[in-house]
Amino acid sequence: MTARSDAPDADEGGSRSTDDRSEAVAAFGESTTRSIDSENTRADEVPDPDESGDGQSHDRSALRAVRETGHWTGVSALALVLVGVGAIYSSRALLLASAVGVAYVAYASVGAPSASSLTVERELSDPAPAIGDEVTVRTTIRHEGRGFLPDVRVVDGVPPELPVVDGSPRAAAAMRPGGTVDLEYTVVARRGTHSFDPATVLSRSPSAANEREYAVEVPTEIVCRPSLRVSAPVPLRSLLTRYAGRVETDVGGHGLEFHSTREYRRGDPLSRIDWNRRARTGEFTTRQFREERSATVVLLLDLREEAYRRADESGLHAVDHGVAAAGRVFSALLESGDRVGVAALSPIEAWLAPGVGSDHRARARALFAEHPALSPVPPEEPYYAVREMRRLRKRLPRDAQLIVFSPLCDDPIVEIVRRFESHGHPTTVVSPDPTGSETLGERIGRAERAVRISGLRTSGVPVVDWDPADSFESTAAERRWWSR
Amino acid sequence: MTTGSELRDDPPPLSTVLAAGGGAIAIAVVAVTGGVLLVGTLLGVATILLGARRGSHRAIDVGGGIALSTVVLTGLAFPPAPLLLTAIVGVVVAWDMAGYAVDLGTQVGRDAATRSAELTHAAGSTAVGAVAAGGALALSTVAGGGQPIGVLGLQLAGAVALLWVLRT
Repeated sequence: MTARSDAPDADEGGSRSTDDRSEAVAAFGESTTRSIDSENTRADEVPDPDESGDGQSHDRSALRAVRETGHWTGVSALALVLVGVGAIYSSRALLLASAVGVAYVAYASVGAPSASSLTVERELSDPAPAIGDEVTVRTTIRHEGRGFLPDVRVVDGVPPELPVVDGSPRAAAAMRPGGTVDLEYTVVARRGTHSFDPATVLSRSPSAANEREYAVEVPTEIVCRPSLRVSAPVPLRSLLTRYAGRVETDVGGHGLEFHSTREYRRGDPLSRIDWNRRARTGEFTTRQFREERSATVVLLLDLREEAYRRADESGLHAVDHGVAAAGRVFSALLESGDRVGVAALSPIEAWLAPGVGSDHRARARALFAEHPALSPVPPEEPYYAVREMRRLRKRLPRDAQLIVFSPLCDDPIVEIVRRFESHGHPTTVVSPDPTGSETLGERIGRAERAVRISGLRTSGVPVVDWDPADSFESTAAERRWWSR
Repeated sequence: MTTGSELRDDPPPLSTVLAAGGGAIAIAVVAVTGGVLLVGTLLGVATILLGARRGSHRAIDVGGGIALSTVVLTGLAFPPAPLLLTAIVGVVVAWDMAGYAVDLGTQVGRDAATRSAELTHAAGSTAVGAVAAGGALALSTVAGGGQPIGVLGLQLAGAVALLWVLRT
C-alpha cells in the first residue's frame, strides 16, 4: 500500500514545514544488529499495518513554489515584431507568421499541472551497511492521479555526506496516469547516521514556461555503524590493574610462565615450593610465575576539526578510519577481558567509562554509530585543549592506558599525546594516514606527519602508521609499529 | 543539491539533436529561397547549438535572434508563406529545445533518464507551431482577400496584447 499525499495545492507558492521524522528515528533505537541478507529490510517504517511492499512511501509532500521559468520570455515580442514588420511591408506571409507567434504566446501561458498526486517510495538495498559498502537506492515516483504530466523532474535528497558512485539520483519524464519513474543509484556508505532530505519534484507545463516545485518527504536513514567485529589481538603496553588478565607483567606471583625463584617465606603455598632444589640442596625456595593481569584501556578518538582530513574527495576521512579501527580495537580488547572505555578529543563531550560485559559493548556500539561528537561532518566549535584535557584527566582511571586514534595532521595533537604519556598514562597512537603525494603541498604534509611520528616514537610512544588502503589487522599484526 | 563529483550538469544530447533538427529545417528553407542570407541563418543556428553545448542561455537567445532575422528578411524578399512559416517554426523549435536542454542539464544533468520528457516537449512545441501555421494558412486561403491586410495585423496585435494581459 502506498500512502497518498495530501499536499496543499494552494497557488500562493508558500511553503509548509514538514519536519516530523522523530518516529522514524525512534524506530532505529531497537535495531542494533545489522542484518546481512537485508535485501528487503527497511531502514525504518512509518507505522502502517497494511503496508506490505518494500521501501517507504511518503506521507507528506508540500508545494514549495509556483513560478515562471522564463523559458518563453521574448516570444510575445517576437509576435509583435512580426505583426509590425508584416503591417509596414504589407506582407501577407509575415502576418501569417505572426499568427504562429501568437500561438506560442498562448502555449506559454498554459500553467503547470499539479503534481500533488505523485507518490515517492524509497528502497535501500541495505539500510545498515558497513563502512565503505555500496548501497543501492531505488526511488520510485508514481503518478496516482489523473491527467498527463508532460514534464516531471525529480531530484532525490541524497544525504550530503554520501557520494553517488553509480547511476543518477535525478530524472525527468513525461508521466501518464499510473506511470512510474525509477531512480536507481549507488552511494558509498560512510560512518554515522545519514538522513535523506526531501525529494524535490518539479512539474512543468508542456511549454516549460511555468513550474511547480514540491518537496516530498520520505523519512529514510542509512545508519552505518563501525563493525565491532573482533580483530587480531591488540598489543598493549604493560601496566597493571588489580584484575587477572592477559597482559604479562614483570611481577612474580601467580601465573603460568616461570619468572624467578626466591627464598621461602612462611605462608608460601606448598605447590610453589621448588621440591627438586629442596632434594638437591636441602634449601627451601619458592618458585614465582609471571602474573597476568588485565589492562584498563581508554580509546581516545581525535575528533577535532583538524582530524577531518581525507586523501581525495570521494574517500573516507581520517576520522572515519580512526573510528572504524577504534571499533575493532574495542571489541578485541573486550574479548580478551580488558576494561575498555571511549573518550574523544572533541568540542562535544563523549565519554564511556572503562567497563566490561555485553551491556558495555552495546553502549559502545550505540556511541560509535550515533553520538553527535562522532558526526561525519567536522565540528564547528573550536577545541580548547588545555581545559578539555584537564577534564578528561580527572575522569581517566589512574591505571588507564590510552590508545589515541589520530591522523597526526597538526602539532597540538603531538603535545596532547606527550602530556598524557608524562602524566603516567602509557599511550599508543594509531594513525590512519590521510596524506597524498600528488601535489607539493601534499608531499609537505606527508613529510611533516612523518616527522611527528618519529618524534613521538623517540619519546617512547609507539605509533601505528596505518595506510587505510591496507587492513587495520594486517598493519597491527606486523608489529613494526613498536619500532622507535 | 547533493550530487557526487562525477555527476555532470551538461545539457542532455537528445534535446540538442532535436534543436539541430529544427535549425536544419530553417536552413533548408533559406537555402532554397534566400541566397546570401543563408550565411546568417547558418551562423544563427550554429550559435544556438554552441549555446546548448556550453549551457549559455545568452548565446541561444542571440543565435535565435540572428536566425529569425534572416528568416524574416528572406520572407520579405521571397514571399511564399508556407515556406516562411516552416522556417519560423524551425527556428522557434531550435531555440526552444536548446534552452530546454540547458535547463534540463542544470536541473537533472546529463546522466539522468530524460528521454520521454525531451520528446514530449519537442512534440508539443512542434505541434503548436505546425497547427498554428497550418490553421493560419488554411484560413487565409479560405477567407483571404476579403480583409485589408492592416486590419488583420491589428487583430493579431490585439490577440498578443490580450494574451499578455491574461498571463500576468
